[in-house]
Amino acid sequence: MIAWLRNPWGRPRALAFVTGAYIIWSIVPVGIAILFAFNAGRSRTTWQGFSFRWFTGSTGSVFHDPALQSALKHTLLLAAITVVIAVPLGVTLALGLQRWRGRGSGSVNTMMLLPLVTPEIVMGVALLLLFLKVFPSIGLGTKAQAIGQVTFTLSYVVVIVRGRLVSIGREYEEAAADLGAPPHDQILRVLLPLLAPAIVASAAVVFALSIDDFVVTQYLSGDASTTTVPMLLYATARGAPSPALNAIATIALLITLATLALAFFVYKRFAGGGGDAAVAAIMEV
Amino acid sequence: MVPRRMAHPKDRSGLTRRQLLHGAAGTVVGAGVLGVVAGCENTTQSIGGGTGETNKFVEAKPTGPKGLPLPRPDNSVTWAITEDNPAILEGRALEKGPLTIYNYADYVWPGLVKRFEKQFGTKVQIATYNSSDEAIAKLASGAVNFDVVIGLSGSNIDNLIAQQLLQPLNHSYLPNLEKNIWPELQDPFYDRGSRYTVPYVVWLDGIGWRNDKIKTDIAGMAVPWDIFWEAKPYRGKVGLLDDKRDALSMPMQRDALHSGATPDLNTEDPKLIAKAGADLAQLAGISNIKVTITDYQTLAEAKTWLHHSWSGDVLGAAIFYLPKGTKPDVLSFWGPDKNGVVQNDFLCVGRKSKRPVLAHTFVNFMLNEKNAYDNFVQQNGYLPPQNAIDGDALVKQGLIPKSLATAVVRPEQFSFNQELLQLSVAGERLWDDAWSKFKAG
Amino acid sequence: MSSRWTWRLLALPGVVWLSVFFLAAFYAVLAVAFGNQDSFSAPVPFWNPLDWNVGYALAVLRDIWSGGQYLTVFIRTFVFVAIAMVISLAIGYPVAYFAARHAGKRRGLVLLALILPFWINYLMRMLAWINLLSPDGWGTRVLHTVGIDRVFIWLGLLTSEGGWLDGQPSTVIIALVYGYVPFLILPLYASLDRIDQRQIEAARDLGASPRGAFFRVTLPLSVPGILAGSVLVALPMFGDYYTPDLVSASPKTNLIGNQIDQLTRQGSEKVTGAVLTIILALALLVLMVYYLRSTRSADDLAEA
Repeated sequence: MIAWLRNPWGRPRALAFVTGAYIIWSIVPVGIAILFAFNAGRSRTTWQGFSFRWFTGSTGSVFHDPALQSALKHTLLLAAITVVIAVPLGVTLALGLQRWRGRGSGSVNTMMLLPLVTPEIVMGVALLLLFLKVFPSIGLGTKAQAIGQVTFTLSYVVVIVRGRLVSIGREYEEAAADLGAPPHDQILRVLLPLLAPAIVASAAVVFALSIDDFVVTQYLSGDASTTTVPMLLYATARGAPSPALNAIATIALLITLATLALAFFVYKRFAGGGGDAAVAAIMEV
Repeated sequence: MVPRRMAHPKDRSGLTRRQLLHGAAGTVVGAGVLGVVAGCENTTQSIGGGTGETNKFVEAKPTGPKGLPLPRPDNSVTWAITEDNPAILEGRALEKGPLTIYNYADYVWPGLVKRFEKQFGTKVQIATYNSSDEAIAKLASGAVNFDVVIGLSGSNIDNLIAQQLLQPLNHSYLPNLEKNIWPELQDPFYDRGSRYTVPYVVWLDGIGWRNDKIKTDIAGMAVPWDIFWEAKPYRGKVGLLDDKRDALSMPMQRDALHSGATPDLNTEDPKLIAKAGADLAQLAGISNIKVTITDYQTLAEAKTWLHHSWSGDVLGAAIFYLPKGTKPDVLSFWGPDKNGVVQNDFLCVGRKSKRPVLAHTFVNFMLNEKNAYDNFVQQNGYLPPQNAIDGDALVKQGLIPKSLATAVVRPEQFSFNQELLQLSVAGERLWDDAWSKFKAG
Repeated sequence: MSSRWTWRLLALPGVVWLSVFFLAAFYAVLAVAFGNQDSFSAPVPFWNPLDWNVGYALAVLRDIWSGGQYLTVFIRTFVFVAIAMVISLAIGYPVAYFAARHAGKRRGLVLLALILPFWINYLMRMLAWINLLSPDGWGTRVLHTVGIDRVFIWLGLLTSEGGWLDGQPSTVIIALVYGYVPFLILPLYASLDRIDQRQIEAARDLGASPRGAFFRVTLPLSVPGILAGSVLVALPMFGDYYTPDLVSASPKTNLIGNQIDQLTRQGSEKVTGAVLTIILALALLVLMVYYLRSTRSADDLAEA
């Protein structure tokens, strides 16, 4: 470290070492957890050989445990609903906020950013009380969970789409306006196609956020059919987990990563600017 | 923003007029008492809302929420069946599933659930809760409906009745109740006639420990509960039940055992409750005690060595959760002979169940002798109060190791021990406060 | 239709959504916190601010003032988060610095490795550690072989060999660092990446030692990133309840999140829970405003 301070243009061995150690520390434990999804025994701490029994075996496996299956299905269902609602809402809000100048836009902007920095437990408590006391007809369960997830993912969509709007600039629209296109034509024919990569990226991010969300989803859950994979992870990690839990977490992880990889390539292909821009778009969040 | 009332919040006289009109506050709804209680054995008149004439001759007793009587062994209660919440009629056809159940985690053997699904061609979904407070709060929010609720007990009975969270049972669907269940629990004092509840399992609060790690003869100690205050050597490996009533009653039992007195484990004496909380707080310093209800898992895997346990959890650990190669007799259990906690919990049908016949059918299925037995010995470890299941015989057969013989509850234990029962609103708050103080560390 | 109205109309659905489900939700917390509860401990919200009952809030404030349980928990939470943040910075800064300045051709790969933990479920990452740190877990064995558990015992941070999950504050803090440090590294990386190399070169040309150049140029210029990252790490840590629950479950590691969770979701005293939620949100609001201001002024400085 000292040597590096003396010569910052030298080869920073110590820094490289710290970074390498950090990366190993951050990823290897998860790798081991994934490995234990394939354990032949019931233990999550002692390796007893390789097997698929916790994925496909006849007892207690993901494919034969209705609770695990239902959690996975519900997680995906919620993610789909959230994407379908949050993305259009977020895209229109981003468009509106970007071009709307004047009274009200500042406070709407602040309101839009607040969910990004509100700790999840505050959000969870607030939404729980909202559904218990203001909208008892909605109650707790799938509807409440979906509304809650849309509420906190909306801002991510706005941020991603707005980033793209800024980089597009106003030239295209202005050109369209000069050619006499009415506002809705400017939006539909000019802006939306240009925004497509950002929309896909934000859909993927919302999908991934929804799959991973724990606090809000737990606070707003109702009966057993509204249990998600993260909730199951939490409940079972405190009780009596079997490697089937690692197996379902592995499946959820694969779905998340596949979604994001897809978004990455779509962004890279259509937005130009190479991989770095795509990484930046996803990192923006 | 200027507050109009600066009264202490917990002083419920400080209610607004609007609330009175809405009848939202429990203290003002005493008039509803007669509607909910059909009759009480030794005080047939209403308790909270009686006329001046009767009150003159009767010593006032603490009452539960909405002024309901607090069931005690010497004060049994028959809960009324109200017009707005009738039992279902006889002979109805079975509804289609899925059957939704609300239960503690790992509290029913999954194999049994599968058996039910197969036998009745339906699906079953189980949602879990972590504490009775959580369960009651969620049920009362009205935001969720369950067909069957498992695991709540006499410590919440008034809450369940007063908020109408349960549906009255039609016994014509429950032939197994009369046929199989201990006579002592057929017509319990907390719910005469088993109108809303039937017993699920019974247990004893005691001490579970790993005798391969802890060499002290805990059962031989003058006051075995003292082991928790002498647990410094096992720091980090000691656990306490994550349930306010069970946990706080433990130091009360310890004090009573020292002084030879008979404790009242349903006390509402602020001093006794505060002392129990302070005693528990010492444990955080002595052994950095953990507050969990996963002893069946942690004792089995030796992640904890000493745990304040429900007897069923220790039996469950021995039956199902021990890792391969560990013999069940490494687990020991001690429970008090008298003045301890012996309890049973309930199988109930949810008030707004959309499949009441299926729900009744499930309850009856759980009361079936073979099903109850399999549930007990395959995983759960909690003894069902079935006439045909002889716990002592199971010990003799070697199915239950001798070191755990006292974890098997016998019917007569209900007479020497106490159940943790519903408290008055004020009393409940005292226990809540002590518990939350302890949990804050 | 004028185009001005088009944009406002476009924003409308999103604005309505956030008003109904975000702002109203916060109002519900206020109405509950300044309301009452019925005899089943169910909250009775007072919607009209003129009716508000400050009794519950006063009771909590009185408890805090007199050094009661909530003060203990707030202080503990603050200490845990502060330590976890310092450790996160100590780990995160070198990593972000390396990624921004020295990763060279491997930068893409390094970045990917830094982003990956973001998208692995938090609970899965905790679950992984619970397994590793159980008495017979691989992690416990490695830590024992390397002798780290003896160092921790010597420092008084651990009570027995292999007792990582025995309810240790140190384990909870390390778990918090592990859980949230990626949130710190990425904004730090972004701010370090933005620093103009030429400024450092200029400092060197003017005779600054490498150490001087780092402390006088790089570090001050990365302050906005440090602040942004610290806030992004601190906010979720302040609201965490599941981490102590999973790796400890001892009252000695109870955080304010656990108290709120206990009172609201699991339980019986939603009114007091709502009061604590408001106090937490207000405390964090101060943090957020401070952060927004200081980043803005740092930005201005950088531009000047």
